[in-house]
Amino acid sequence: MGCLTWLFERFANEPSRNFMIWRDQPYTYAWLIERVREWETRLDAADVAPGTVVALEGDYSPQVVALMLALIERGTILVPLTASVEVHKEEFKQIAEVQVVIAIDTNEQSSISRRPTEVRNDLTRKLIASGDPGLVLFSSGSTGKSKAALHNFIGLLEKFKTPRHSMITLTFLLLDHIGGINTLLYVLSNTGCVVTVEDRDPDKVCAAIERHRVEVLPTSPTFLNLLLISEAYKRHDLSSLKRVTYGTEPMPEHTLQRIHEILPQAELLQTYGLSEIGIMRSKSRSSNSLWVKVGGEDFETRIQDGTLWIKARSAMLGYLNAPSPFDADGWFNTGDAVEVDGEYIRILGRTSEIINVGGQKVYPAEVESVLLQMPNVRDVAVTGEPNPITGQIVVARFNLFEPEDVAQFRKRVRDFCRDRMAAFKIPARILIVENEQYSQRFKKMRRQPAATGGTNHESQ
Amino acid sequence: MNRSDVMDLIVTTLQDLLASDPARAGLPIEEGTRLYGPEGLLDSLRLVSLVLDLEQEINDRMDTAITIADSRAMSQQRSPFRSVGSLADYIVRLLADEQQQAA
Repeated sequence: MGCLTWLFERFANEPSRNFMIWRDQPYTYAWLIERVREWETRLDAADVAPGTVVALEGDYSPQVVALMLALIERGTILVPLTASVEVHKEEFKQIAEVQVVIAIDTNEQSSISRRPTEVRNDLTRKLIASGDPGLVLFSSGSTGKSKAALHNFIGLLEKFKTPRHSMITLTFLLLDHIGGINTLLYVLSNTGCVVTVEDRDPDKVCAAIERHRVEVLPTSPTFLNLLLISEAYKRHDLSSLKRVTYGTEPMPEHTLQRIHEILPQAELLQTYGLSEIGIMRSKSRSSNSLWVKVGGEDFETRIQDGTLWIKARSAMLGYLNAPSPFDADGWFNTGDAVEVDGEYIRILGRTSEIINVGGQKVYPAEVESVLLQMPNVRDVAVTGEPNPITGQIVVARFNLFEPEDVAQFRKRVRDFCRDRMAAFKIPARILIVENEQYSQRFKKMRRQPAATGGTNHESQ
Repeated sequence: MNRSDVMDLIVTTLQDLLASDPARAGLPIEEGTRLYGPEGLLDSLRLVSLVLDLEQEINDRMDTAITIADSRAMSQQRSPFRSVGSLADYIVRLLADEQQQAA
């Protein structure tokens, strides 16, 4: 009996239901069962034994899902790689000690190739010896070098055995991201349906929601900002949405209020997850509240010096290329600064992103939230910069709708901020930039690209 | 940019910054006007803003890359930031140094 027998039984009970809408075409659970069997045969023929480290190149598609399930069932160590990490693929394969690469292209054509690699990493060897399937996820690397987190897949699957609502969910997060894996497993374990989109353009996403009556939209605050700016919600019927979840970065309060206004019928929920510990169940105090209760049966949390620590049953085994981040008792420092109110917490931002102006703390998200309310501001990213006078200063890089004179814009920003935030939080350096400031995962990029060779035109 | 251009720029930039401060807006700005410290026009945050605004404006106009507030400025015997005139002097010196380096 494989580790996914329970899941395949659920599929078999709902053969005619769609598990995925891909390029506007439906694919059923009966189809999925068939493809998983085909893959089992192909993997046998290609001699992909349990314990092999397999890179799966591709993104949300019916074949990719079928192959992924076959690889988990087989007890391999899965390394999902999407096009978004194209430039790092070779480096990631070396770190993960990938032995077999299975690529599925945009036309669902697959190819299998071998790499002459012996697994030397102790963590991986131990997992292979246990016979359990594994998963390697790379941190997004927004703060330096990517770290490879090795998970025992059994631990990640555990919470999905409890049946929950079956919903039509739009996929947004990539499959090599903990949020993307979580969404997929949630949908499949409840025989729901995943709707995929080719493009993350707000209008195309909204069109897909309308056409397929999507009920759940897992997304990020940055995408929600873009949704508001584009006014795409005015051009499409989004009344089918019952739940919008957001995570991966702190939510600007203003964005949350506006989304609540335009989607009054939808429950807005914050999720909290990290590549290292998996996704926790969370409960927002209300749809327009940033206060959230995190945890669930498999998680313990504690606050130490204002920072959130987590102990999770689904935690990774460790990093493949960095020392263990867990303390002796298995607690993980999330690096997220939080405020506490009874059982609720509010996430303020990454401890490492806090700006210290003359000894006073500034959270980028809080300042961005105010600046986004300014007329003609399309997007803004706030960072710290060393300054000999105040230690650090607040720097704001703006994207505007219409060009504006920089000196006048600076004055306008300061006038706008004066009654809305403490003086030390008001940006000292105000720049207008032309490049977009969010990553492929639609997460705010506060680290700026290198000054040379980029397309970072800054008007000073 | 000669010294009087620099002075003019400091005065207009200061006026912009102080427009939001009813207690100080409209005060005369002269060579000897104190910028920071006792009887200074600015608090530390506005001083930082003044310096950054001047840097951006000058570098933009002159195609230079001067840094007004750095460890060099902070280690001067007499702070360049004590008065409007001393700041103008310091900026003129920085521009001259940069020109020399370029030559």
